[in-house]
Amino acid sequence: MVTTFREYVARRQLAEIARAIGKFAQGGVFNEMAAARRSFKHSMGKFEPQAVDKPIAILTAWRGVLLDPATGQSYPEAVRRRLNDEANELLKANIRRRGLSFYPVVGAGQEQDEDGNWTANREDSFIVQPVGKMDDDMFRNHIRELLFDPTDEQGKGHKGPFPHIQDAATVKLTSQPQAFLLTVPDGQSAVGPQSYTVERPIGDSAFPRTPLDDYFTQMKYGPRADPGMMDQHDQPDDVGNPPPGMGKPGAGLPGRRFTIKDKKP
Amino acid sequence: MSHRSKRGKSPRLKQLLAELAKDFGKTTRWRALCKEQNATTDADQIRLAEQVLAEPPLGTVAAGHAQWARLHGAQDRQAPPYKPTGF
Repeated sequence: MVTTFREYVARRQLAEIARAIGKFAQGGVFNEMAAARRSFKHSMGKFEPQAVDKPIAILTAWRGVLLDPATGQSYPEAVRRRLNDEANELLKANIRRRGLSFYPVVGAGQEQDEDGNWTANREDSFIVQPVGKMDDDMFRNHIRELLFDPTDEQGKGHKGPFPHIQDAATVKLTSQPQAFLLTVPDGQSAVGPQSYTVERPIGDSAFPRTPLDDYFTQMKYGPRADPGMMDQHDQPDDVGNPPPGMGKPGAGLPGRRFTIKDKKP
Repeated sequence: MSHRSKRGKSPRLKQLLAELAKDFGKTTRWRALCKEQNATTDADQIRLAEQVLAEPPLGTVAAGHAQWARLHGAQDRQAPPYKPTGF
């Protein structure tokens, strides 16, 4: 009964948000994105088919390592998250200005070292799509510009929380079934948006994440992850989880997860 | 090149690998370079570990994923030339 009431309230709130935003939207795209921000199937479904009707990308202004220029040492984790959040706020404004829509997700990866120890990395990210019609080339060029200048500060005097250029973003286009990482050639650093010339394929479909999948996208909102999507690396205070100890439903638990990979024959 | 194949590694290589593990994505990058260059001796693996350690941090999940895809044999494509969007 309680769950049913919560679902009702969530649906009603979502409908109100969608209605308000929809007044200003073109072609119902904001409605679609508002629904997708809580819907795992909807979000995974953007990468699932071989052919998609709109280009899509996942990107962030977060950095895994942020050094304090005064000490040369890494910032404490709370400071790192705050500075990264500030950078993401500027990225959101940069995305909006271009006529693109977005909603938040969490990008995640994990790596095992030579001693068998694991390191997990989580970062607040955005799923980005055009609001109206946009061809693949134009969309790719927007993503290149967002990667090179995520906080829209170059040539305007430094205004972001830290100067940075991003290395890569996940992209899926209407003209090809393979999603790919748009990045720079090996050993090079980006000197402009033109530097992102490499498309490295990662898969032509999307599936619920299993513990065997080291890289995945996690919902920020909506129901929490099924146990089969989680593993021993999950911690309650991971980036993207509702903070533990606040009495909120799902506190300390991650959202649902999908991974982009090839559809098996 | 898995973590299970650490038998016989020199102390210097073990030390470098411990350093690599502190920076997310660098161990995978080192493995990818070793695979691509068929680096099977300690000397070659040490050289590549030193090279990766000297590089800037990978920085993001996407950059780490790009190294993971490379290690697993992804074949890169060339993107079309960039044209400014005017924004």
